[in-house]
Amino acid sequence: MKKIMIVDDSATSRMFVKRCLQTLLVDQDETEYREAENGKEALARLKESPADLALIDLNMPLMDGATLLRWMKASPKLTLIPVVVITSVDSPANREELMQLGASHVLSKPVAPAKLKPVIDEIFDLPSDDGFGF
Amino acid sequence: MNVEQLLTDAVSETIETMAFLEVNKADSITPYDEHLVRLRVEILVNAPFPGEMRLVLPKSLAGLFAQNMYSLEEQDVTEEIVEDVLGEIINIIAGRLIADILPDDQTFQLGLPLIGPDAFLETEASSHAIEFSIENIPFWVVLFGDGFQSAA
Repeated sequence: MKKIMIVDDSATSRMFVKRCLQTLLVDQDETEYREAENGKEALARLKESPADLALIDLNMPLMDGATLLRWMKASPKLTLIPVVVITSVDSPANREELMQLGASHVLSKPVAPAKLKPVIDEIFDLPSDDGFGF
Repeated sequence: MNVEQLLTDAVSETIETMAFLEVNKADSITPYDEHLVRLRVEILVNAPFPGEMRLVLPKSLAGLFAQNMYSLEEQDVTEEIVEDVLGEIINIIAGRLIADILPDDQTFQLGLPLIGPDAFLETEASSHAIEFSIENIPFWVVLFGDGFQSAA
């Protein structure tokens, strides 16, 4: 079973990301979706039980996404979890900074299945053509 | 680059992708109707220039966004959902606009969205208001600060 953590202070954004993942992973084994509203909550929950993938926003209260990413990459228990940053603050320069911090991919909001599909295929080593036509 | 055109693209693509509603840009600003219940959501640009973007819209239109995005009936839309939807929309529009007007090697930072009732549509010297409509319902995006224009 895949465990996926979605971190965003916006319930709307978490809902969009989860919908996309459910569309893309419909043929896969059961997937457990976990949600957190900020980096601090996500970090605590990931330390309790690591995930197979984390999709995180940048602008969040209490602990932002860049700080969460730094903590994860500094933690031996969490450093191997692929982190996809999904943000509205997406420019080439911002993207380069995040990749240097250890993000595996950076996507701009609003996320859509077509945008997320190649990333999910790569991370979970899925066949690239699964009939969705994205 | 034309900031107004970039903003129009950002507004249209964001709302059409998220709420499945077609956006039209108006050529002029509709006179303020003080009887219309409006909401406003604003977001600060913290870097590389100080600025603010504000979205002002009728409460009914905000409810329509929420209905479409969450696939809800009108009576099931809560104030909490509407506020979250508006915050996410302004966040994405602002990010898209600023990414489009800045050079590739420039990073930028946004604040967190703030939402509240709208008292009036401010028109300060350093602000630029643009009117849009959805299904003939007007709404407005206002840019505050010179940074948007000078960065472009």
